[in-house]
Amino acid sequence: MLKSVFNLKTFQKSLSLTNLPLNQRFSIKAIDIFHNKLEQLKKENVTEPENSLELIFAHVLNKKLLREVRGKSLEKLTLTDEETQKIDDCVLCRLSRMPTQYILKNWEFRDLELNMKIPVFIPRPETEELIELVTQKIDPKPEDDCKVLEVGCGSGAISLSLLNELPNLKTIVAIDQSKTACELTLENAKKLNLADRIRIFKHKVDSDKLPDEITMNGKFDCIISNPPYVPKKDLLKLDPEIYLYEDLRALDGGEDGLDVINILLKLASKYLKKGGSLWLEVDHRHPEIIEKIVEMNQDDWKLKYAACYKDIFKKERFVEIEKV
Amino acid sequence: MIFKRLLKLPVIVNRLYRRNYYSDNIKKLYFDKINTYISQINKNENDDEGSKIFNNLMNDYNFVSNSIAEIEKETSPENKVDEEMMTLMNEEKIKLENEKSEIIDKIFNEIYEYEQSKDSERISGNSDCIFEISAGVGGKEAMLFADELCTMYNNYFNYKNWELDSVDTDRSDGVYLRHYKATVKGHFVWDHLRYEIGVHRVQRIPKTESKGRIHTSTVTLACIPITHRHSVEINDKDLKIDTKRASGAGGQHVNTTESAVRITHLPSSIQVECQEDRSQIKNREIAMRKLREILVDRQIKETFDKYLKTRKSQVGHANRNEKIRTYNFNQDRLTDHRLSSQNESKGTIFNLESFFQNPERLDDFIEILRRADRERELLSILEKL
Ligand SMILES: C[S@@+](CC[C@H](N)C(=O)[O-])C[C@H]1O[C@@H](n2cnc3c(N)ncnc32)[C@H](O)[C@@H]1O
Repeated sequence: MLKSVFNLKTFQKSLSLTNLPLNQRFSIKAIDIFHNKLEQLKKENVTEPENSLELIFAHVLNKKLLREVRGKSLEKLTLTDEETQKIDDCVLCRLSRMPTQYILKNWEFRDLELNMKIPVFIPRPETEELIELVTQKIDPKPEDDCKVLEVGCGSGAISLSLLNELPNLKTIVAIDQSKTACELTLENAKKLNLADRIRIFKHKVDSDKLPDEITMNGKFDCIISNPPYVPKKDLLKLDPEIYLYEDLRALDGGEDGLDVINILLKLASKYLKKGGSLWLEVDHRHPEIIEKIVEMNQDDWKLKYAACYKDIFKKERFVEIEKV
Repeated sequence: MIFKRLLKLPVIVNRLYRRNYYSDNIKKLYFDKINTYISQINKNENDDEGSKIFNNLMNDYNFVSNSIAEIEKETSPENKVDEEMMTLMNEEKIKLENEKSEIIDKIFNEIYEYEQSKDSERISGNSDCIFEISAGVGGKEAMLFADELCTMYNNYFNYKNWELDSVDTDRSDGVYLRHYKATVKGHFVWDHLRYEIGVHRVQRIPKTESKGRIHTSTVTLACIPITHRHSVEINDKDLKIDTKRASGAGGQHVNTTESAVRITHLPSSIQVECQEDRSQIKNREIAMRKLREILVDRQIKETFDKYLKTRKSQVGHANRNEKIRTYNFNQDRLTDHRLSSQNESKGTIFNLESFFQNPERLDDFIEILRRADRERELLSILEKL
């Protein structure tokens, strides 16, 4: 990271355009800047250089569609000084491997646009599919009092999507160990007018017990979580975008990636209603192991491994467990 | 029978009330066949309703014919009718002749409709259509003309109160019209548009031509009736979904922003792509919608192609590659090659600008084509007797 941030040459190059005399700067062509920046990103081996730039351009120029900053449309655009400066700043961040979502400060998750903030975990597209599965399985009627708990809400992606897509779902309880994550979830809930249907608690699950304030309304119909599931040995191999910027506690699943998952199974056994279900997003190597653990503790936990679902990349990604 | 049905269709009723739908020539030539036709229907005991209609019409016909014969007898020279009386009777005779001609029209129409209703596979004239315009030979000039035709037909759809759906425009460089596609919905769309299928040729000096040479370019018009409620089932197993993200462990292990999605439908090897949205799941939805549309279109086309194969003889419209019309701007006229092969003047229309601007003129022209087609089909029915 140090290397890329303080790479003086790159730094000067990115400034050099704004150092041009004023009259030349005035009607700078977007496409020239684009190619210039693309060169820089490629030279520094930044991942997804084109896409990052398109997103940055669309963001700075306030364009809704990427198509508006591509090809022919890009050729027609010119930039003001201020815009050039903003693009410079964003590209500088990208050169130091900051994830584009943090640079833009917002990102899409299903139908929602969520604010993003370092170091709160950036939602992944796989998780969008988890919502698809869950909304098909639980769709409460207006008179139902369906209770849902999310463990590890991060930016609020899961909880807020469920509230948005299930209008009859009255409230969700969301917990996260990170204060910043709790704050961001609240911020997003307010922005999306969903704040009155979510209760957020800063709490770290570490045993089979939840604090009374969380459980005072009784057991849950559904517990859902995208818990940290990256095995420790994988952590070092992640892209710098992830290990330099994202909260590692959001990813670190311990030795085999199952630390938090094991806690969640115990919590599910204790706090799920009969017939209620636990939904997890996991590593593709996990479902097999989880099935065995659940089977082994069947008598104790009264849990049943109900199903495993693949993501669009055909990887086993989601696990459904039932309380019997 | 037919009139009950027709009352609901003001457009057609209007047309039918116009006098002399079929040419006198045909009426003379084929009238004898009508008797054969009707006696065949009368023999068919299962078809009381059909018999009744034709017999009633024949009674009317006989009544009018007898009246004419009587007038002819009374006005014959040996009867020495005075002049005033003579004029009166002649007027009466002309009136009756017109009536007779109209009855024959009705009989012909009944035969046509009767045959159509017997044909269970017939495509209903009321079907909605997929309408497509593609620029053909002639580069930019062809694309310009495709655009002009496109505007003309859109005015026409508007004039007919038809609705458009799934409009898809493909322009090269965002300017020149390469391809236009839309679903047209409304009253008797297929019945009108099917005569427009084929190659439309334009001859003129393109605006872009500096040496003043006349160019000939072509535009192809296709129109496919939607005869069933088509739907396709897409099996997840048949899909290959590619994204930049697909490799590696996925999930929390990767953070990417590239959200382009490419879906390959393996059985048909159709590929669709979408990179419009920042969200991958949105791009996937859009791509799936595109795929579904392509597959449904395909199904509609296949049904139609099958239909064409089984009944090559009597389709009544051109094949996609057939040259049907030439717009000659230097002579300011348009020639429909199908009509002009029968009768030069009938197939030609002057004043192209007004033709392009007034949908009524296109409508009248299509009406001529419809009549010609009806007549042709009727002839083939009667000739077989
Ligand atoms: C992979 S992120 C998921 C965030 C969000 N639900 C999503 O899908 O985008 C995991 C989240 O769980 C939180 N977390 C990790 N361990 C936890 C624990 N023991 N108790 C509570 N929250 C925890 C992290 O702070 C992080 O926000």
